[in-house]
Amino acid sequence: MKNEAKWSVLAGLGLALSTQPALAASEADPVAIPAPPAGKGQIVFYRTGTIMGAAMGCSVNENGTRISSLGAGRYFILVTEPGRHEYTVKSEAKDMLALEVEPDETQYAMCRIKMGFMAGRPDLRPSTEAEFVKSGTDRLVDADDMGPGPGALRPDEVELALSGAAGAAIKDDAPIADKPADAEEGAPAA
Amino acid sequence: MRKDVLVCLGVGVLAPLPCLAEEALPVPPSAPAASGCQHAIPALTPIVIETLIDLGSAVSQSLDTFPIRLAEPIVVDGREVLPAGSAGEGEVVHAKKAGGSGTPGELVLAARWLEACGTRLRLRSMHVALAGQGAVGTVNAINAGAALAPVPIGLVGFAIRGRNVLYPAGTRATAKIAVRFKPPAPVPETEDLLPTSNPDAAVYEG
Repeated sequence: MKNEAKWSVLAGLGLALSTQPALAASEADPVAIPAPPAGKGQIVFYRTGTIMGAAMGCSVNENGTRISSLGAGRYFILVTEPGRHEYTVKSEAKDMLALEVEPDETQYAMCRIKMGFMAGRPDLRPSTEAEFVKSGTDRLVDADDMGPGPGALRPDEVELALSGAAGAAIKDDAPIADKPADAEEGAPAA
Repeated sequence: MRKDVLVCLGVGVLAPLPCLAEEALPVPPSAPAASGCQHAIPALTPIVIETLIDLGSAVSQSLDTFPIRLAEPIVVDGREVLPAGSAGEGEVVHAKKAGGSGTPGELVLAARWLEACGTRLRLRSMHVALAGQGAVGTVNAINAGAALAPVPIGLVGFAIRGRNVLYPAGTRATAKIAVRFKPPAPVPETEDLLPTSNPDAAVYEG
């Protein structure tokens, strides 16, 4: 009898961990991500709402400066300059992810807390819009958890961007633009 | 053979046409070749490229470069403006091997440029950011179970590795032309008349 109870608890915990995304969120509308400002790119950092490591934050840093902290089931949008960027997360071990930010495009990165010796270790990895939607992550990081590094959009800035900048992004199926001007033509061969 | 020559001479008398073999006839100038780089390529034109070497989270290093090739011709307004085959280069933006605790391998690639028409056409938007199949969830489930187990089976999680990402040679991906390509202006015909081999003529100012 005692053994049965023990296995029931184990099975319950296993089930709770394996069904990682919040079930309620799967029926909700997908989170609206605003288009980045013209000429800028953006990355949506998110963390699924699993039980494991829920008490830990996943602080995303660039060049040693904290951009924002991700709690379980939270996301934030980082607007930044196009080019290669390196982001780090750290607890008892450090993990780094480099991404190529493209102008007028949105990319996704996911943080998970994995097993560690004394504490969970955050792991940052590339992701996709489909994975973000599937994860059911729908809560924006609170404004006081953002910064001091620049770029993370505060909740009011997200609302503003959603209301005013809709359609600013260049979608993949958009008509071909004949910009920028001639001054930016291909560089001569080396 | 002799009969052919006689017929040829006869026809030559009657008509002012040279009687020569067909191979010697001047070939009319053909239409401009599609590969002539004579047409502009708008920015954000989608292209299909393929990688020419094996890439992967376990075999590549961040900031490595790798050769690419234009896999399909670039077509603008129904006209082929650049044939397939142009060589170029891409860069491994990020590569990380799979690790313990179920951590998957990661690979982020970017297309940099294509060599064509004497210039390097800058590329963007390759959109290859991959993570292998991870086992972090499995490891976490084992750990949760281990909390109630009499033996420290949770340590097994450190030995469970995620899977690496492999991006084999020949894999195709889409990218875009980053900036508008404008074909070089044609050389004026008058420039062809300038003497190029006579040094005296080159300095003549009279």
